Amino acid sequence: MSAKPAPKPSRKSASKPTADAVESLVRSIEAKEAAATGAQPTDPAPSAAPANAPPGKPADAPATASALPPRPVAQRPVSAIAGPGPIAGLIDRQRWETLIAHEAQRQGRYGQSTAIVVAELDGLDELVDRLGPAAVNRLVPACATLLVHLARVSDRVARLTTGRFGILLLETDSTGAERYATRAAAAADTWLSESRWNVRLAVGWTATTDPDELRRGLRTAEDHLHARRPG
Amino acid sequence: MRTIAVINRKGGSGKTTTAVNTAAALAETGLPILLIDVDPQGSTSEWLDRAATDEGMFQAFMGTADLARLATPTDVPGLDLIPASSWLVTAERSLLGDLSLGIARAITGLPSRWAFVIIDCPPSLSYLSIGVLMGVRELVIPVEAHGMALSGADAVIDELPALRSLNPDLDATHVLPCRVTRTNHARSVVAALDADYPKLVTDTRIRETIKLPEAAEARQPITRYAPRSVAAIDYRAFARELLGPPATTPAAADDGPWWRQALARSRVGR
Repeated sequence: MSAKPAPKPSRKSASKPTADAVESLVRSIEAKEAAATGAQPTDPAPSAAPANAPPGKPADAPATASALPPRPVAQRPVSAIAGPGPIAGLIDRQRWETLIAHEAQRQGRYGQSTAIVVAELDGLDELVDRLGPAAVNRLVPACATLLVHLARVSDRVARLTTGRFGILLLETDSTGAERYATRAAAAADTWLSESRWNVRLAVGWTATTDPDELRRGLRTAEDHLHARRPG
Repeated sequence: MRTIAVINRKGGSGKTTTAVNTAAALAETGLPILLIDVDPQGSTSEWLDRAATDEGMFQAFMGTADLARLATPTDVPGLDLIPASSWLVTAERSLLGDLSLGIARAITGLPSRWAFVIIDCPPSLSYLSIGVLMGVRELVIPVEAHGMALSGADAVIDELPALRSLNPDLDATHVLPCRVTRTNHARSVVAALDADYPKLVTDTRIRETIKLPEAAEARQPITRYAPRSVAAIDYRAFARELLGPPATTPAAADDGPWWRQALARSRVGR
């Protein structure tokens, strides 16, 4: 005769799960999978690669990129330069600068139009005062997801400061930049107004076919953002 | 309302096949069924001829919209679908644990309009899958009758205690042997599953048949594409197994719709 199973904790008696508890569980699962496959565990912001990816390269695989002499910036593909950073899955300021330099060189060769959009969350300081830094830590990645969701695969989204994002739109003119920026602002307004956080997303943009103007493009887009701010 | 996640850490184990065809077999009984595609690959949506959509899933998982409003009828009577969203591809990287919490909230907040909610998960124990597992009460783990497939089921079952600490209502687990052939190898794999998980393995085995990939290509569940095939028979048997034994006493007239009464009588778990 089998023993009675222990009573399960009810949903009412158990404390609510937190995001940290979930992240801790995912990291432990990833560590177990990495140990099983002999791979290195991933960093705290996991990539979108499936858990059942092949365990590693065979012994006779060609030399990795790190064994080759470094190529000049313009010859490296954009994806190698602008890989995702650890914060919110976006590229950081340093990678953004490298990306702009690369794109300016490319623009000098082909003359295509490139746009830069700047998006900034207004009201973060007040939000911290009211709800603490945890609210910002939740809001910023969600906003990042929105901006990435609205961009194309070829575009790049960077986190420049706590609440400021830069979006590089390749092969895009000023009309396309305005379209992206207004869609992002409208989507953010819809979402943020329902949350009652009293935060809004301000946007500014610029587009150019001139490499020197592109190198100054972030400043131009920021000036545009400030000019469009109410009051 | 019964909520069921179809999950296995291993890709190609039959999750989408099981989710789509179990949902269709249940809908055949007259029950209202909701199928949700949370796999960024969107295979379930593709099987039922629905493209991945950008509309609404982001808002639903962020808590600013109603997930139920994304449900649309399919060509299968009684079967509704919430298709996958291309947003899911990038969501995990940026939202992490908040994504899981949002998914769990959205699932538990679904109205009791449907008898079963079946959710096709991605082939990993990531934030997407764990969010689903935090919101459902039952798991179906399809396991291909192949020696290499056992680790995928083991990975999910090994994590059940940790998952139950996040979701104490996670009650029943059904390990469903799939792609079962008459070979000695398949028999030994199924025997191994029976030995390792005697209380979890279903009585139903889904037999291997070319009709299933053909049905996927035809964008129809097996119950419509080849209703007399062994796979259709097997998925109907699995649907009956999920519903449990029929009632022997008449239900009270004021117990709600007939399908609610049927669910109240059906077993949950083994």
